[in-house]
Amino acid sequence: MGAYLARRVLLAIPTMVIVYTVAFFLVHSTPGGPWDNAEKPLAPQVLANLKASYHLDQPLWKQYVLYLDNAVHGSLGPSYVNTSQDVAEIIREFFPVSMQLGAAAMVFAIALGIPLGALAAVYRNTPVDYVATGIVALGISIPNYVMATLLVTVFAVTLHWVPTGGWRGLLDVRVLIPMIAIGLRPATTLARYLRTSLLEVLHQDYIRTARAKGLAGSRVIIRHGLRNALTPVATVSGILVADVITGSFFVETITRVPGIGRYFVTATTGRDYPVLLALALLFAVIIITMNILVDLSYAALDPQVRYG
Amino acid sequence: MSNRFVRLPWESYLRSGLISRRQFLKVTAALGSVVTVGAGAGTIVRPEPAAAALAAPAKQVLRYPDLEPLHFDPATMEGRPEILVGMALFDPLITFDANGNIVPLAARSWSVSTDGLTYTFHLRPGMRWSDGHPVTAADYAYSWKRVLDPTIASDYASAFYPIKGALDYNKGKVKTSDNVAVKAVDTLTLQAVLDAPAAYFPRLVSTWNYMPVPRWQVEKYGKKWVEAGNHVSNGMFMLQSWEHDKELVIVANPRYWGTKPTLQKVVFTLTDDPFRTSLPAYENNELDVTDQIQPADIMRVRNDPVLSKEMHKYRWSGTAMMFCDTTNTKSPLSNPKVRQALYLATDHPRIANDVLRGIYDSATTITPPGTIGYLATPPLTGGVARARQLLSEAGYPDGKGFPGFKISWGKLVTFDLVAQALQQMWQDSLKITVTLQRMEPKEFNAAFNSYATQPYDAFINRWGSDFEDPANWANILFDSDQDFFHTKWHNAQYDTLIRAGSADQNPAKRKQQYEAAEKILNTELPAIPMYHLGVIVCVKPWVQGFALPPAAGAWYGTFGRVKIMDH
Repeated sequence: MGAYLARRVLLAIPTMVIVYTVAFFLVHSTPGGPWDNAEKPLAPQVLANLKASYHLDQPLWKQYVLYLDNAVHGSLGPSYVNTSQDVAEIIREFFPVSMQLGAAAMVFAIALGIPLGALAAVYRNTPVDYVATGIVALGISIPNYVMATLLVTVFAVTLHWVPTGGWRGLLDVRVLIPMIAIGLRPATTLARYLRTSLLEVLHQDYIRTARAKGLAGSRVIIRHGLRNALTPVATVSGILVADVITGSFFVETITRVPGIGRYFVTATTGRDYPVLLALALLFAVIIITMNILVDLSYAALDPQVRYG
Repeated sequence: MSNRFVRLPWESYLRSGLISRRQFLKVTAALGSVVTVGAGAGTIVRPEPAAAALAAPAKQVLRYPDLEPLHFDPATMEGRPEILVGMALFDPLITFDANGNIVPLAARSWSVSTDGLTYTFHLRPGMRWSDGHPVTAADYAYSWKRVLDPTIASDYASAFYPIKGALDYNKGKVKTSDNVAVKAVDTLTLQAVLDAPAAYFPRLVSTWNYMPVPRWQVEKYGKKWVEAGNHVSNGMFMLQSWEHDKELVIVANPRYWGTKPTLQKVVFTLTDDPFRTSLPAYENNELDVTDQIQPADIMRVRNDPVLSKEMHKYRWSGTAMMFCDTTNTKSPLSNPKVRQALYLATDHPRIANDVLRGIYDSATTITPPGTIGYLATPPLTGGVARARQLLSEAGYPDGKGFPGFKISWGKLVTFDLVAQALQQMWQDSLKITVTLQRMEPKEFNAAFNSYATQPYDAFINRWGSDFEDPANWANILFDSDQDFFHTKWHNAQYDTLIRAGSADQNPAKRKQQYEAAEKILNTELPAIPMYHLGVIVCVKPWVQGFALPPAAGAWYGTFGRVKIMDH
């Protein structure tokens, strides 16, 4: 187990170098620079001053080495746009918010998706199944920003039950709208996967054996059915977690959540190279971590899987 | 949340007599609601909208939307979110009154030498920074030179170039700021010497980059001096707290030298899209003012019985135009007759009222109203009939043989709408074809910068004044040496007129020169005016005295004028 983990972590290093290299050259090859500003273009000497102060006057390969060297030593550089903060500070301040919101959305997704999928499978081809699959279809076809706008319009602007947005931590009502808007889609994805795999499992011989032995229906489904049906669900959850944390930009904007999502957009439109690179690396780390966790979860779910 | 917005579903039962008042109160009390009940008459008291009485000092709070500002350091402030708050935090030496005239602020008076080169500012005695330090002329001298420091890399360093020695220091030709001709003669006297006479210099001094910084905090905290807790200012308000991307609070500065504001506090809700999020938040009573109402929302706001009454429109000094490369011989736009034809075939009222749904005003001349040189009536007239004739004189009778041209612009809702409308209008009236190219903002900016040397056809862009003066218009945008928008237009007579106008100390003569220049500009049309900018926001009825000035340089005092009435 320990050796397996060590190997996976070591393998992540070349992946990160590739991500950095691709990101670096993509970022620097997009047209326009951080200080191209059509409304108030800069005087040439001001632009020269700016470039010099951020080493952008140096050849590209030097910048590549310079940033990598700094990053390895823990400095992610200054932000060109938010000049009073450096990149590490931006990530420290806003990433936890996205993490918390993502975690809340994921908990919501699991709490809604697992029962929904299980019910649909157990009561297959009954009205329960139709309602459940109906909710799934709805959740998959409505993009999260549309859902967020709908929830804001109904529950804040019309009913005045909750504020239209803001962030005061996980224990405040403000979390509800973004949590539901972000979590609904993964919930329905989980439900869909679980329904399919549970239906397959419920037709297995060992389920029939368990039933024949006279075990209670709920026990059969939970102990023997669900546990075996969760492997594909675990695989997809790993991707969903990464998705929920990274893909919440529009919802964060609509509900005024101070998360990292907006930095993706402001950094892209502002050509804020250090922020873009740091975010690319950060999300590579998240995705690699989630993949390792998913692989480890197989061992817990399926006794046939062993890591040596 | 105020009581006004608590709606109880069972309230209608009470009104229709299905339940008694007693039952109603019981339900209400059981649910812990906060509805107040009138003592004598037994009716439910609904708070009156905008009662005449002033709210208590604790309630003198304005809730306002804003983008996350970058910082409040006058040296590098350049965007609206920073300037809006920054001008409440700092006092420049001079500012603008409601009519756009310059008036003393931190300087009680100033004088200019007869050669128009030396400006002497006399500061008010007894002014203090929010931490108690005295405000001195040395603070201003330090701050002005700091903007020019090449390592600060201020985008607005060029605003200081009229000062002698400024350019050399900013370019790095000389290493020290010793030769920059700004000095504190004594604690309360500041002197600046210019390279050439500039009648607009006092207006420049009224803008945000000329506001002072607290040297001791800057030196102690470096770039972190702008954070709440480290930030010290000399204006009517001071920074109390700043939770990035969430909320920023400024409060009245108890040490302020001038009249203390009625408003005690402004709470800025920070978001990266106030245009989209502020209207719902305003409707849910989380904000007292919205951000700019968007074209997509304007009809709903106009038709809403409540919102339509709370809507306010303010003039914003600026113009959106289609700029043309006047020297690109491959483009038909290098022929002034073609530009004139396009101008006359443009249905300006339709652009403003139909295409943009009245959020902006029609612009038939380039310089916006409020700025010297503005012409209410354009020199070119004759409409579509004259346009066809001009096109024919240019060699394209009835649009025949017209080679077409391309209009590009950086993605923006209003530009998208206008470009499509122009294409249609010119097709219908002149039978010519233009192609449209909409770009990502950064992509457009890169293209725009290349226009300085590369030929192009035309593009749409706008200019909003930093301060209302032709020095911020004609002299930057269309002086052939400056040629800010790369139209490459050259007219010796125009250059002579505006250069004389910029130095002239006689207001009447100045006006005459700029108006004559404006006539030339609007006849040759290196840029075809489209619409003048404006701002439409909703303001709650209990907010009194709120008005947005027409240029960012005049934002000082915007929050100081606001009063919150009982509600």
